[in-house]
Amino acid sequence: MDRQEEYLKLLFGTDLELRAFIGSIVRTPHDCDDLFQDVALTLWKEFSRYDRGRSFGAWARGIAAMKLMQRFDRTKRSPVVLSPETIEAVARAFDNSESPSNRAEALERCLDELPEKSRRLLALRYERSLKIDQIARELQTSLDAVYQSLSRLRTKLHDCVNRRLSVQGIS
Amino acid sequence: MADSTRTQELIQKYLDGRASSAEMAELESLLQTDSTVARSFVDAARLHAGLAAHFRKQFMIDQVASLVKADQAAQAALEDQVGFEGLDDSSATAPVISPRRAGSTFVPTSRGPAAKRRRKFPAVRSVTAHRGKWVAAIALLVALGAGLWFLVDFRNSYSRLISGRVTVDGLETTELPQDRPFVVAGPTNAVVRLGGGAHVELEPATLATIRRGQRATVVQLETGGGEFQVDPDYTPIRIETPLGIVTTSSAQVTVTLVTRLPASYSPTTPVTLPRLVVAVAHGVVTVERGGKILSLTAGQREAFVNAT
Repeated sequence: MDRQEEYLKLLFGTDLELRAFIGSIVRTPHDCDDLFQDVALTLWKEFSRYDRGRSFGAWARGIAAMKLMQRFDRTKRSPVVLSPETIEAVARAFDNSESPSNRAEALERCLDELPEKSRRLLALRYERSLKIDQIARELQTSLDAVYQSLSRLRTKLHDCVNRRLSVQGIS
Repeated sequence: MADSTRTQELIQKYLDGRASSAEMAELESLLQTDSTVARSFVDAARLHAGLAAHFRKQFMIDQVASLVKADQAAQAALEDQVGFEGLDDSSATAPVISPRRAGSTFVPTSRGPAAKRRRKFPAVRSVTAHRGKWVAAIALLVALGAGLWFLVDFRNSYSRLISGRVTVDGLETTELPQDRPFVVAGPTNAVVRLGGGAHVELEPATLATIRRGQRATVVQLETGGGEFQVDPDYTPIRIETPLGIVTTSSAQVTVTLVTRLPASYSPTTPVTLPRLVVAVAHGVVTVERGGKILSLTAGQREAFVNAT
């Protein structure tokens, strides 16, 4: 396996985790994509320095955290709104709870169990990236109703994913 | 340990962009001091990313599937139209079937003459089935390529609202189409990421149009203005106003175009004539006015009151 192949394999093995970390600090999908690309490029440039004895995910997260911290500026309406101290705490929490690789599969199954109406609501939020007020307008309902429905759905999905993972013997 | 209901509320509000400054501060404090809260935050972030990945993937799959489906339908219709002459060796043994008359009524492909031929002559069916697969595979590749090209091009060319409010033709939007004037609505500034990467924070009531130039992203400013942030990695920007053109490939610059005279005269306030004000915080910009080019560097501020 050449260097590029090895890098891509490692990156694609952890890209969802890396996106989850970046997406927890920058919340718009567009900014998240931009930062992910920026981080992926830096990881490739720095790949010769990567210590194979270390988790690739943790190394990538460390570099992403540095980039996020550099962009933090509350006064300039930066996409990064959490302070460097918080970013560090979040990165540490990700490091302390590596995600099982079959989490995505478990989520797919849980989504299959949802009624069409719930899937439609999630699609508005995650496929079309609409804000809560835009969803409320589209569905002609109140902001609070959308917020409550989304919260309930996420809790349900979270519980379902954990249940499926624990059945498979992964906590 | 923090109350878990409150923690979940804070996390969900934050991820949905609905947390107030006080709630943000509360969440940040909890994240830094309580590992249980940090763990819950990570769980929520993973779910959030998983949902985004699932629905965006599904969106692409649906698009490709509809393109392939359309191509297959067109292919089946074509088969019914032209018959099978000259397709391959099997045409030597299979009887020649006349093409369908133009303008004949539509028959569903599963029940039409082509379907009957497929049932009667398996060799023909095999060839056409393979041809269908090849066409579908090529169509899939073309659709994927076109989809990727579209996504990359779309991402590079579209300008997006990051915060604040803008309207196009009176309707609020978060994506700013090219060549259509938009207005910054509401009392707060609007932050826009321009196609090409530059960021701009526009003042309320700013009226402008974004265009894609050959070498720069063009912002045609009719009134108002704001702070433009252009990094060397971004596409340069060119701000066109009736009083001059401001261009930069790397700078933080405030450009304000005042076009309206004050509503009333006050003896203590100087009269502000229509003017263009350019103030450079860092980097270099050029201002082109009446055929002359002027360079402004960090710390310089110039006001221009007419176009010559």
